[in-house]
Amino acid sequence: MRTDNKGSSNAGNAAPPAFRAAALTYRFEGEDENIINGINFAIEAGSFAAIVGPNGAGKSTLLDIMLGYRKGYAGSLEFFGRELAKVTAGELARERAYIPQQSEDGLRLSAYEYLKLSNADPSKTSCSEIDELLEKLNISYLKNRSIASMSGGEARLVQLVFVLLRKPRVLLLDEPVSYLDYKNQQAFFEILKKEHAERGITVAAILHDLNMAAYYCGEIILINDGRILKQGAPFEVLNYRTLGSVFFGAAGFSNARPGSGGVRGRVHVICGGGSGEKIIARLIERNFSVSCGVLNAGDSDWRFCRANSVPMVEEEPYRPISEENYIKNLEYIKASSAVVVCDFPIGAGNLANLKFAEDLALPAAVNIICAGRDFNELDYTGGAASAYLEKIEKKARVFKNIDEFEKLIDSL
Amino acid sequence: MKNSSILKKTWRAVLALLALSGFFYPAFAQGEGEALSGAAESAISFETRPVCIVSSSPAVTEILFYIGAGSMVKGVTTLCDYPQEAKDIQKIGDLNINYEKLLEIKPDAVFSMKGLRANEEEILNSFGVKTVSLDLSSIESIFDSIDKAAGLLKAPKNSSQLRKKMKNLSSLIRKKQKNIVRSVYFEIWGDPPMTVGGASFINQIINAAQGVNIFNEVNLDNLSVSLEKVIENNPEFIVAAYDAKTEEIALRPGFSNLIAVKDSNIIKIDYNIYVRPGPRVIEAVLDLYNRLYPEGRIEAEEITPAE
Amino acid sequence: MTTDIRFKPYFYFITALSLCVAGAALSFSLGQAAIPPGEIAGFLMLKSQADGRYHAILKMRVLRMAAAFITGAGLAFAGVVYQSSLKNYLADPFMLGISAGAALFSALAITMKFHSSLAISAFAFTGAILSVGAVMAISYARKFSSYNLILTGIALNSFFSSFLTVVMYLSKDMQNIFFWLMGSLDVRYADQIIYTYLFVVGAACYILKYSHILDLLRINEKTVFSIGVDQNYYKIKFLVIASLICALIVSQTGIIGFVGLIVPHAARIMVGDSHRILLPFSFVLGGTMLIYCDLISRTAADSINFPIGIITSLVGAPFFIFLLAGQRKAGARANG
Repeated sequence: MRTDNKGSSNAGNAAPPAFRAAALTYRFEGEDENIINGINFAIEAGSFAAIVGPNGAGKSTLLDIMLGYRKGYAGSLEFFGRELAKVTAGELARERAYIPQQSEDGLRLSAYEYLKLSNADPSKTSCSEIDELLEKLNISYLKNRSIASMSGGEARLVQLVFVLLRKPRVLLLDEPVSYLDYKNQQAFFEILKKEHAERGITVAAILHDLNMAAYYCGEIILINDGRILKQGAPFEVLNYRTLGSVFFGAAGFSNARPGSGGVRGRVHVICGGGSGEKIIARLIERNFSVSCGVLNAGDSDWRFCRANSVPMVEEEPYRPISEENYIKNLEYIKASSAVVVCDFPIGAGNLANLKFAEDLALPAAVNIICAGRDFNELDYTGGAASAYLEKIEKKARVFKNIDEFEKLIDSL
Repeated sequence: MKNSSILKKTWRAVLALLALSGFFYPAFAQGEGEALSGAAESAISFETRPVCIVSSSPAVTEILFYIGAGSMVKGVTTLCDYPQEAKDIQKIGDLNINYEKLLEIKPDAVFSMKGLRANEEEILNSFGVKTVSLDLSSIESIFDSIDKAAGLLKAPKNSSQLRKKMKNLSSLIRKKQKNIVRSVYFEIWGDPPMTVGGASFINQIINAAQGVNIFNEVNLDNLSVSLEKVIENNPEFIVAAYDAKTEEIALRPGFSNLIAVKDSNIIKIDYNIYVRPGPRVIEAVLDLYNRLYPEGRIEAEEITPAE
Repeated sequence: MTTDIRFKPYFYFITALSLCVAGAALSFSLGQAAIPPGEIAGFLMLKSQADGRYHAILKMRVLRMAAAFITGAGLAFAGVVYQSSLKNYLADPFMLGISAGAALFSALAITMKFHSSLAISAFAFTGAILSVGAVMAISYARKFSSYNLILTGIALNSFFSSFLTVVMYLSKDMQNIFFWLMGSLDVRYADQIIYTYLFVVGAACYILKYSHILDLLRINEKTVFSIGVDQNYYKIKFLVIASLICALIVSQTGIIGFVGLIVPHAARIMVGDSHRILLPFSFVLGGTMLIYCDLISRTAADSINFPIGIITSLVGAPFFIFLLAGQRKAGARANG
């Protein structure tokens, strides 16, 4: 599913990139510190790039500069080979379009009236194009509805139609899905990706959701403190090593031992609700090859695995684990040298994650490591989960905290 | 902004209500403080001389000077511009009294106009200053008040001459204009058109000058008036008591058919003597009469009583 | 709120126009003077005698009605333009100092014994233009933004208001200044009304031509920037024109508050934010509202005209609250 636009960078040698920054620096009037601090990057024409980074990293400012909205930057920023500051507003308007972070809250215009405004002269907006695009996005029913009465997802899709009507070469998006639920985020990006592929639009989007970034973008620019930490394909940028220092603080990395020898073995982690993050992180640090499952898409552990390119068995959001996925998961377990059962709440939906305890066909080579816990607190199945857990614990080595876990791991 | 516009609105509402209820016309608040001032006055005795008094209203100042007590007046308001000598006297405020200044003068009594200020007497009495409140709500009461002040101050002149003058004027007018009463629209401001109602002092002047205020049935001092009513009542005279352009008034829509306009009877008057209920009230009556009845003019000498 | 908003504008438009016509008819036939229906019919058929007394009164009613309509229409129209240009729904046409400037200068005129209503109007107009010009110049010299404009407007408003208080206090014409500030539709001359109509309608048509830009000013600033529209240019242009309309009206009628704030709001609730409809609708709605307010102010008490500004608040506020309450219910339904 991942869009890989690496191919287009070959063409980039001939054609200038959509954006190329050299020592780009920006500082707000009257401030002492640079908000953008001498950065260099290039976004090839036709690529789908995400700009990620923690709050206050300078993402929005960078996008504003790319939009041409913030002028007076130092260094250079080329837009298709021309210095952006020298491109007129009219030319820019023809080349690029923008979706802001905020939706048009409380705007009492119908979608049609709003979309008409996508040209400075509304009479130039073709009605049939509006109809076509609404049709294509399956939102024709919104045509005569007031934006104020739409859901967040609907309003966003209308905004997407708005920018598509402008037929831009470049599309800049500032956190376009931040306020949407998972389903709407997905819907938005599916459409965007399709349009991107069909029209060859260059997309640069600020994203908070690293999963989305990893999943949909071919290129990721990670910035922090006004500097670019890393630019490249998602698997290069979005891993625990790079992200850890930015999002989770540098402390966790001080005892990392990168590159010491080969992979020590395969470990399958059964987790959920964020219980697996630390454990997976320690395992990666110790050069284990980690897999995970079964996780519902959207779960925080799912996001973490997605962001760190950890292979996993995925289930649709809010669905119970299917038979098919259960078997897949079992295969993962069987192929591992250890299975770690983390400390996570168990309901009817994910009970199947513990069912492997029944399956006595489990090879003896698989070590079971289990977090010690109070069953009653985590059991939302009325006893079924506790029964499984008791079985598992009998066979497992139990750890009480992360340090004990480390010792267990190292003893493997 | 929200705040300031609300303030503005409230303020305007208050203003309008004040205007409608006759805030500017002090004759309104009758009866208030009667007992208090009465008690205070009875306690006044001016055994020792020289007496030092303060006037807190222009009309009162005129009265004090008329009765010959001008030399006793040691404090007046900035609005007291008549007679000329009053202008040189120490000022104790305008519509608001500067009580510090007033107390500094240490007057034996403050002479005030009844109803001009809400709690002037109360405040002064609380400082131990005696007050004399003069009722100036009608022509008759002006004369009474003149006598009252003259009596208290043992002043050389009382109202007898004024009363005679007024009597002469009234009988002369009655003699000259037996069966005629001319209707008057008395405008004190043009946009919005404001006039005086039956409760006003000016209404008495109009009546005394053998005129009739077309709005004398409205029991108010001032009112923002309906021009339709003006046209319907078709006054014979329009009196403008401000610096109006008479041509502009004549050009008002619908005014061209008014008798007053057809006969070019739009007149401007000096508002000051009309609004000041003092000894010059007779001048105001005479002035208005002569404007309403130019054919039967009365000269000031004709009404001066023979000594 | 119904989900389909297509039909609503026309429904409201027709309703407002019918109310306007009905209001005009009422306003024409009712007043302090009781006029026989025959006279009214005669006047309408242009058969009444020009020198008749009723003819004069009816003519006056027509002029007054015309003045009321253009006053309300102009203030409401300017209110919409102000709100959209400043991107602030609490903005009203008096936000940038027009009323305070007009009030101060009219007070100065009255103090200097210019008692002719045309002279006072000229002063008030000058004051309104000067103060709104000062607000714009000051905020332009700093950093032009709606926020800056509004702040400067508030500062200048209160400065002028305080200055006005000083002038009034020192002036011997305090009473007359009070009278002027109350606002009135009383004294109107036919040619004055014609010129006002020409200007206001002309300016309104000009802005209506750019209604889509006003739509744009209402949506996300950066989105509009990305389209290549110079927002500040249009903002200033619209504000200047709206201020001229407003200054012209205020200089003639004094300060009639509330219309410029609530009519645009009410209009938005009814027909939405599309200025192509919102602008003319507010125009009609504002004019209609003032015709009715004027009718009340003229007929509520014998011989007396209540100050029109009081009536606009008295009538407008409850109506507005009613609208807001209705909208809230509809909103809850849409969300639930």
